[in-house]
Amino acid sequence: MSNVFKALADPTRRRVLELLREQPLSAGDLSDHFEFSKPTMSAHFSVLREANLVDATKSGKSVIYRIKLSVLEDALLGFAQGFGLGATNADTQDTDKEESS
Amino acid sequence: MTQTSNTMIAPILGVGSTLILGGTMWALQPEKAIFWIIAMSFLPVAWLISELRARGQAGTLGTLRYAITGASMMIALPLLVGLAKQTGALEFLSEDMQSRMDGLALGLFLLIYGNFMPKRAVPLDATEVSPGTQQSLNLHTGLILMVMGLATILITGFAPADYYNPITLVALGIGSFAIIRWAVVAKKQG
Repeated sequence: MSNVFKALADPTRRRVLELLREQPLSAGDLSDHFEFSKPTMSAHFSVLREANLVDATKSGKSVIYRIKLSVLEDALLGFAQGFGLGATNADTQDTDKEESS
Repeated sequence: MTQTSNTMIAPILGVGSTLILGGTMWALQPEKAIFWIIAMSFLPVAWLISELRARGQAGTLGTLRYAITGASMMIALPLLVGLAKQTGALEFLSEDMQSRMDGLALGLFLLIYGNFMPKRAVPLDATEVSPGTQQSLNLHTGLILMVMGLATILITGFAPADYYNPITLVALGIGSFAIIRWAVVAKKQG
């Protein structure tokens, strides 16, 4: 359970979950929404996988990520989003490209 | 171990449990044989027919086996409570409490199953609706199941003895209607 709290405490990982809520996305497509380096994004994906909040399936050369949330985890995600848990000044600068453009 | 064999273990264990429990109840209550035979055979037959119809569609098969696992638990739980009553394992409870055990067990099951039901990645080859809509539908279904479970526990636990069964049935009926309604709306949205 602590893995879930750790995963949801970070705004970037919450944004990843929000993107995956709409549709399954490849690691590359997800990374395109952020201005982080690939290793940084990879570390975020790893935390989400460890918390069992996403499923990673290899498809050809890319990895497809799909969301895996229980009802309580979804409520927790909504709660964390609503109260902006873990958001710092540095984090808020890391909004995805779509929003900034 | 392959993906297919992984998805087979849980439904096999679930259906196996209903067969063992149903068989035990049949042996203990031979006069109700037809009832126990139906309880035992319903899931294996439904599973076999569904597997044959969905063969070749990996995502659909995965979803089907997940549903069979849930359904087997839903059948196994009342069988387990029935067996406990039959063997006198619940004699430490008052008669009123014993009669309420079915509802409490069902409510607890719905509460737990509803929470974890959406925690399954939507199949990549999902056909009828988009993956996002399917995910949203799963979450709503899980939430409604949890509400149904909580309502069942509260009604069975606190309503007067003469009323808890019909009131629980009404609550479960409303919940089932809400789930079907959501599914229909989701399919229309695509």
